[in-house]
Amino acid sequence: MLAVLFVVGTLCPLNFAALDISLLDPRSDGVLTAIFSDAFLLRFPNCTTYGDKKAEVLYQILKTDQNQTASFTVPNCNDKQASRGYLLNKLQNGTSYSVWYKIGDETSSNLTNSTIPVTNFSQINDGLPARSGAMVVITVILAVAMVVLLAGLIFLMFFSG
Amino acid sequence: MASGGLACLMFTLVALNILAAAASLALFAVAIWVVVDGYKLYAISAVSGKDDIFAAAWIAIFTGFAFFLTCLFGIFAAVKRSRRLMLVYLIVMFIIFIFECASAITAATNRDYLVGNSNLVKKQMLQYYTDDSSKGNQITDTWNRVMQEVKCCGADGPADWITFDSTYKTKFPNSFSWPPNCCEKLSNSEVKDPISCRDGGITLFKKGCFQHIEWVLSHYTWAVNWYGFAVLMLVFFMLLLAMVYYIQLD
Repeated sequence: MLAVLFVVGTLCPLNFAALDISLLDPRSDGVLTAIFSDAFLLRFPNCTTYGDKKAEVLYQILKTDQNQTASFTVPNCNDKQASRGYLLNKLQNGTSYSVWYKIGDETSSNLTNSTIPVTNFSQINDGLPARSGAMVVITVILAVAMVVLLAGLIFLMFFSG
Repeated sequence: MASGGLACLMFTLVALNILAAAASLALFAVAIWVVVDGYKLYAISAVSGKDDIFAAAWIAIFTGFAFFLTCLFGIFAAVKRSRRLMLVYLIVMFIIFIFECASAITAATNRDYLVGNSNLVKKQMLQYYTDDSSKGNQITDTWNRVMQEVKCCGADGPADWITFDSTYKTKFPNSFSWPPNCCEKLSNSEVKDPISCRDGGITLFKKGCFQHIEWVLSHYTWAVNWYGFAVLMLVFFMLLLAMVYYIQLD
């Protein structure tokens, strides 16, 4: 059995190892978000297998033919200053993209995701949200107080000795 | 009313006037604290044209001091047992009372416009941060200071800079998704870890600044409206007593 496994192992060289592509996870990777309005934050390929190798990111807007490419070098596992992921930027907002890695002869599966659609700030409704209870209470009580004092003053000035 | 009763009323009035004089001096001091704006957030209310919290504080400075002087006059009028002086005192106190009511109501109302929710502050930030106008300069300076001092970003969080377009993104399309002041900086004003800042890592301030801004403006408002209201209630009952005293005087 062991002999069979060894033979099978020699027939499976390392460049058949899966090249993964995924977005960083805000919860486990300590980033705010992996999806921006003009960028994706992609997890680097495994540094043990692909460290210091030249890699390409191929991406296209979904349902179009226009492929675009960006290249980078996969950081070494010992590089503590490296970013947690590759920032694929200069994308259009609110658009679905298909993204994949290519290192040498290996190609990863497709990652499909959409950038965040951007809202114009002039659409924010900055009008009065609601009157607070404090404002209503103060206004009512003080209005009543003013009326009582005015009535008292008028009484004093015109009707008392 | 028997002379004993009148004397008792007079002493009560004198005591209340002393108390009101002290309380209104404190109102004067608290209103000065608001106007001085130690947290330096005036720009946020001024740029939106809704700076009536500070206008109300200015009124409270004058009414607080006017109440103080008139209460001293009231002590004199009560001790002199003069009808004419008491009438003058009542009329002047009533006029000041109206102005102080206006101050308290204005402060409470204006606060609702400014910080009822984060929309106004957020829209103003997105529109004016890094804008080249004088409003833009004021907002930029204010937000840069707040973000670094309070360690916050955006109104509700850094996501504001991603979800909405802004003058900052239009002016600096190739820079970070959020202003550099949203990240920890070194003492020489450089971003401590540009990669972590760019990626939204640990050096990015993740809480929103609106909570701090709302806290400050609410405390300014409450200093003017609730303390002003307390002084007004004291003065109200004191004036009712003064009217009774006036009626009892010959």
